[in-house]
Parts: sequence; C-alpha cells; structure tokens
Amino acid sequence: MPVNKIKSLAGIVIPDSTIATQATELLLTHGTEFIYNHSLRVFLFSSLNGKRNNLQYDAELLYVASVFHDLGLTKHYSSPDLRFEVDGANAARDFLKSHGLPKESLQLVWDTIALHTTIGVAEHKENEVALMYSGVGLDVMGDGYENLSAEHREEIIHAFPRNDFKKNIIPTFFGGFEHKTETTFGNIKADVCAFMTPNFHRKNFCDCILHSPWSE
Amino acid sequence: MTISGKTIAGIKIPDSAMASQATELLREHGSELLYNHTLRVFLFASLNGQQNNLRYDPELLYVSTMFHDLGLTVHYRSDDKRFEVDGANAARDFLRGYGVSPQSLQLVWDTIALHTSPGIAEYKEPEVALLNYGAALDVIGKGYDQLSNANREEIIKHFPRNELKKNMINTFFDGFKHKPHTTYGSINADICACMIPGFQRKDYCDLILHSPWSE
Repeated sequence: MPVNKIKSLAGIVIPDSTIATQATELLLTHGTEFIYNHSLRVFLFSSLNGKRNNLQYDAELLYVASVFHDLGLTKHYSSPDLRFEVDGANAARDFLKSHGLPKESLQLVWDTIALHTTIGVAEHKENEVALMYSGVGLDVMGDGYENLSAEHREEIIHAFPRNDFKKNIIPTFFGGFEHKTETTFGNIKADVCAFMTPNFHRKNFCDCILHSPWSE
Repeated sequence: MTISGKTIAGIKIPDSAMASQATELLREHGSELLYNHTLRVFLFASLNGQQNNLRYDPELLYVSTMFHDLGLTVHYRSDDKRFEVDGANAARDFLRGYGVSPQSLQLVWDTIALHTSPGIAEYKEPEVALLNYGAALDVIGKGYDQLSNANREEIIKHFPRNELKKNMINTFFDGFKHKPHTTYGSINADICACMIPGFQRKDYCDLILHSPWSE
C-alpha cells in the first residue's frame, strides 16, 4: 500500500510531522487497507466536526489517536486479555512516550482511544476525545451524517474508499477480539459477539449482582 | 452523628470542610442504602489503594465516591444524560467552588463518569481505578477474596448492606427509568432488561447495517 501523500482534503490538513508520519507507517505496516481508510476518514470527519464547532484541539494528537484507534484489533498490537481499545491506547501511549511528549498529552491520547466506544461519556470529555468519538460514530453508524456536506463526503470517500464497509466492519471487529469475547462485557462490542457467534452467552450485570459472594 | 475524621478498618475518613460538605450532600439527597453503599465503596477503594501501595489523593477519592451515585437521585439527575455523567458534572461544579485545579476537576469527573466502564477504569489514574474497584467489590463482589474477614465485618457493622442484592437493582433503575436509552452500550442496559418487560435493547450491529451510508 502506498504511503498517503495527500496533504489536505476537504479543507483539513493531514499532519505530516515526524510523529504523524511514523504513526501512519505503523498503521500501514500492521493494519489492513480497510482499517487504514477507515482511520483516515475518522480523522477527517473528526476534524471537520471540530472546525464546524469552532473547537480548539491539537490536530497532531487527534491524528495519532485516529491512526492508533483500531490498531488494538491487529495481531501485532492485540493482547490476550485486555479490551482492544485499551491495547490501542497503550500502544499509542508507548509510541508518543518514545517521542518525549508530556504526560498530559499521553493521557489525553490514551483516553481518546480507550473511550472511543464508550457511549454517553466520550462526548462530554476533552475536545480530542469528543471529536474522535464523533468521527468514529459518523463513519461506523452514520451519526451526524446530515452535517457532512455531499461535497466533503465525496472527496473523502474518493481518497479513502469505504471498501464495502457495512459488510466488512463487523467481521473485522470480531477478528480483533474473538479470542477474548469476555472483554466486551458491558460495552457495544458485545453486540458484535452476539451477531457473529451462534448462541453467544452474554454476561449479565443483574446476574453478577444477584450471584455475588456477598450474603445479602 | 458525624463520620468525619473517624478511622474504620484502618482508613481515615477525610475531615476537611470540602469532604464534610460532600458527605452532607449525600446525606441530604441520597437514601440510607446509597449512603451506606457509598461509604463502603470509599473504604474498599482505599484498602485496595493501601494494599497496592498506590499514590492517590484520599480527599479527591472521597469526594468522587460521595458523588458517584448522586446522579441517580431526584436532585441531581438530568433528563437525557447518563447518571454517571450527571454525578460527574455535579462533583465538578461542587469542587469548582473550592478552587480545585482543572486537572483535579477532570480527574474527579473521569473517576465518576467511568465507574461503570469495565475494562477501562482499572487502567486509568489510581483514583479512577480505585473507585471502580470499590464499586465492583460492593456491587458484584469482584475482589471479595482480597478483603479480610475482620475488615469486611468492621465495615459492614458501620455501614450495613441493607439487603443490597434485593434493593440495588431497583435503586439503579429508579435513577434512569425516565431515560433508559442512556444505558445503551453500558452494563446498565442489563438493569433495564431486568426491570422492563419486553425491553428492546438498541443493537450496535443494527445501527451499523442500517446507517445512512450506502455501503
């Protein structure tokens, strides 16, 4: 896959600092074309939302967070037992640490990635966290689709095609955590396990309460 | 009866003006069940912090704990946000009044907002991880084996469980039954499914497959 040479798209500059370029290379090495296109669309959608709402945010951190946000699904970054979101967050933190970023930035990027699937919380956090969550929501579920102009949509999809997204994203997600389905308890990815696994047994919070070791 | 400054199971209850005021708000707006649950959560969280030699701010942990379920109460609940976020916002507003730094405000906000997010809270800052630990121990008995009998009994004697297994699901549900959609994608969707006959869960895969995107 050729390294992305696009400098800007839909009015959004794609960061090209050393950090940004190295992050992109990691995504190209360890991700698929499908995840690469999705991640770049997420960055662009997030940035467009930031621009539309006049939000202040660090474009480079948002870019690195977007590039790493699904890398926890890949063989290289996937742990045996942690949520894939946390694997991606840890990988991004290690990467940024090696570039000497301050600990506040490390935590911000960690949160941005770790919480990108946490409905009802991410949108109330720091701008980078809220923006990437909005970009993921738009690309995956079409949240805020009406705010995206047809022109921007076409331009972005032309550069980063959806590759039959609806058909491929659910199996792609599942491939990233089928060895640790218990990590989806209490989050939206449990629905992916139920979709992909016949008779998938969901852990249930009420059962956990009623059958705890406490006597009452 | 004040609990400020008391030591229970070797853990001191913070006695600053800020801590005492937070306790008062919990007493005023929460039920006895929530009060006892909340104090146990603080003690369990603190014991775990001590056992693991974690560095954390006991006062911020205490205030976070006091507010962690206040989003369930009539006084603090919103019409449209997750109860965790209502509690987090209330705590942030409360702490602003004490001139607490923006970093500490965010830390307390995260601690409360994420206390029901398994698999994430435990890898964040010590205060976030500890509140999640204490809440999980009290509600589902996670880490029960690490609690000594002596500590367990001392804590329950001061703050009885009030038939938690029987009452807690109902208490949770009361806090968000006017906005069950806010539980989508969280453990509390299970509470709605337990309590509402025929409850239709929103499904993530349906949302993907029926999105406005053409492919």
